[in-house]
Amino acid sequence: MSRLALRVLGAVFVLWAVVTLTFFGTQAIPGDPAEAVLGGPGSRSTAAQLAQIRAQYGFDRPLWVRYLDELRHLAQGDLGVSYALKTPVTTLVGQTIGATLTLAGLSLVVAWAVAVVVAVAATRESRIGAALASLLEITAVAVPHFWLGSMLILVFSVGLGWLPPISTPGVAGLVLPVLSLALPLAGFLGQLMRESFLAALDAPFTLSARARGESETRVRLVHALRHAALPAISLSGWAFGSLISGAVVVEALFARPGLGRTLLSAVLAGDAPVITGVVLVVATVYLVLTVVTEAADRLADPRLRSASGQRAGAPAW
Amino acid sequence: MVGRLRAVRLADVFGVVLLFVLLIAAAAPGLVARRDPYEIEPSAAFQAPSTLHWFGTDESGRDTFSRVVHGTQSSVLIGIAAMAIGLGLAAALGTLSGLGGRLADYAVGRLLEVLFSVPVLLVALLAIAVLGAGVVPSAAAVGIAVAPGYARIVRSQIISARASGYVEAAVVLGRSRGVVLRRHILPNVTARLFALATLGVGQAVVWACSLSFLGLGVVPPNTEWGAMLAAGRPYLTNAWWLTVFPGAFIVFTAVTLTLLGRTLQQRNRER
Repeated sequence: MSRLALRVLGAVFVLWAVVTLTFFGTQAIPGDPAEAVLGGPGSRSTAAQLAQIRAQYGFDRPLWVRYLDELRHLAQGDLGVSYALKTPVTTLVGQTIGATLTLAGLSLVVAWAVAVVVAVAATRESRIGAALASLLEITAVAVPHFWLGSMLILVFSVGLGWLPPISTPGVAGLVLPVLSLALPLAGFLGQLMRESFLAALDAPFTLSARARGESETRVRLVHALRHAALPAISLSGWAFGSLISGAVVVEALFARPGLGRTLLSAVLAGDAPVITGVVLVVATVYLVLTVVTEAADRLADPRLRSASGQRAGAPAW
Repeated sequence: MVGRLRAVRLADVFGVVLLFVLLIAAAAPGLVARRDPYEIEPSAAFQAPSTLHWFGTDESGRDTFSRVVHGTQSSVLIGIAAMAIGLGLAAALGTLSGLGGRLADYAVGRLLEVLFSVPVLLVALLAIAVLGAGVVPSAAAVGIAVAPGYARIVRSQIISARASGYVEAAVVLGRSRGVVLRRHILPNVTARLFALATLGVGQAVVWACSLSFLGLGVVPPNTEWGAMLAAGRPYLTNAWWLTVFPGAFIVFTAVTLTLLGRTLQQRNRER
């Protein structure tokens, strides 16, 4: 239990550092925040209006006072009020986080499904399997999410007319955004799982399972797959991060509401509270996922339970 | 075994040819595409690809082929600049961590952990918020965003070089710290970094194009692939060529650099 407590403490430290970095980062945004509140440089606000906003929002207080104030508010779960929309950031995030997490979650599921199929189908002899795996891998590193999404729109919306070209509420509107996010990730995970799957097929425990007379299907699906899944499970936190990066672009492409678009418009408007809020929420989800996957790793791999984190130095099998 | 060797060589040849095409397009776009990429011709708007306009024309009648070829320069240069910034930061952080003693290693390690908890594109967006939108900021933003990943790699390579037999031998032979660092550790690390940078430029091109697509980097009507894709997005249903060709060049570039980077890594490993 103390290990978990330590991990949670570490996560809290990381969150504090993230808040600190974003706070001082957003302080460095050029331009007057009071002007951002009044609608940007184009609003032609008067000096009196600016002074009033400064007093109202506390922009005139010293930096360190505002920093401590920010920390106090965040600790109480108060993310502040958007400069541009005058809505509480918690409300804004609450309205959009569901859409983004649905998108990211479904993409993760689809990516895993594709990756598992690629891995389980792998044999050392199969050239087609190897070619397919490299093709997926190239897709993962070389195809931008927004272009993959555009190609999917061209084929399935413009060409075949099966699915809507922009994201509509409901399942049909989710298919293309999910695919544009899932396929590149599937490339990464598939390649990773394929390699460890092939290694697992040569491992002693596979041999002993075969010697016990277990069927090839059982050897592949139960013994080898479990081992192939391990490195991919450990990467879940990273996978989530890459899905969020992708979601910013995919939400823009499909005109889909979500955290990514909220953040994008906040960046364009210099809306510091929204920027801080979204970054903080994303970092929190990432950290929760990391702690959970570490626990899942322990469940899937008995060797980790006794070892004191000496994974890197341990022999592969 | 023979098949494996031949496959590697084929990929090498392929990679070098692709790189050559890319370099020509970047260095002398006028040789490949003779039309002016900015010349508008409203009467020839939205022409589908033909022998006259290989990649069709855009909403103002500009030649897409010419624009894509001329876009190579800015897209690839931004990618290289971003990678240089990212690798520079990574080298500084990684070296500090790998050679600066325990406290520095701990501090850099915590900093990287913090940066890893924020997705790459979000770090880039934060940087854009501070630096403003534009060509130079977008390159810097991508560089800053990818730096933590590379810093971790630099650190681990320095540490493994430091623990290697030849460094131990040099220390036993009484070479000074500076000599060991200059003659033994750094050359070893830089060769690997070069391969990594080649792989990374392809990725950086993709990230930078994403920023331009979001309207935060190069803006239309300038010739850059991400900006061209952003400009073509509203016409996706009636002018597919405005989306297909610039994107295909992004993929082409990233694949070329990835193949090349892999080859270099393979060489390093064999040495």
